Amino acid sequence: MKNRLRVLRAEHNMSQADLADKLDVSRQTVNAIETGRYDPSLPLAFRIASLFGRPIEEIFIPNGSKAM
Amino acid sequence: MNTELQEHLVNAENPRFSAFATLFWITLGTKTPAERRYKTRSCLAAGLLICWVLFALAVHFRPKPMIFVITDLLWGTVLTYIAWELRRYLFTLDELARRLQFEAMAWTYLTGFVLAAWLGVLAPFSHTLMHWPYKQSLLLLSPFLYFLLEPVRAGWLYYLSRRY
Repeated sequence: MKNRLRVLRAEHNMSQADLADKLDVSRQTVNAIETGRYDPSLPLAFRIASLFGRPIEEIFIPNGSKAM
Repeated sequence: MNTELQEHLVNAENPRFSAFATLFWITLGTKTPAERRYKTRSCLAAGLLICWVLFALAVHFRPKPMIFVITDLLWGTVLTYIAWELRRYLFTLDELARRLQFEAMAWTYLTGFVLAAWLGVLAPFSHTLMHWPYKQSLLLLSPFLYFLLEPVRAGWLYYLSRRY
């Protein structure tokens, strides 16, 4: 699954550590999600969406779907 | 925000889990209070055990049954305590770290299972050499199996954590 987390984080002037603190996960987890190596659980995906004030489908894009 | 600062925020951080923490402590090096607590308390418990064993050896461990019993009970108590602290630590992890830890444990279990199976297969052949499994003193080695499997778990955790 692709995602726009890195772009959103940069738009909000946040480091990976800042975002990790806000989501209550490790920095490595944030990095693994950003690079597409790890797909977050649904609760974590909702927390990310809520933090950036965007719908989930605007942040996470299933493989094969057209990017927004 | 200028592009340079954005690049810094995006790329500056080391993305990987700490190799040293993974291989030496079998944690993921996320430096949380729970991780520090687990490491400190496990070290204290293991230290107590080592001190007692050294003391027991110093006072001629084998001929004194009481010291033998205390040592035996201490092994079990300390290892149980470390396992309890590990459990507490695992429940503080985030979803990726917990997944890695549990996956490493599952692979360690399977590795141990295969090793045990092969020991069972080899037992009849080794009987003439070391009387295994009939030699009762070999049972004293059982607590060491925990320590033998820990490097295996470290290896699996390191291997798995490199995927992320």
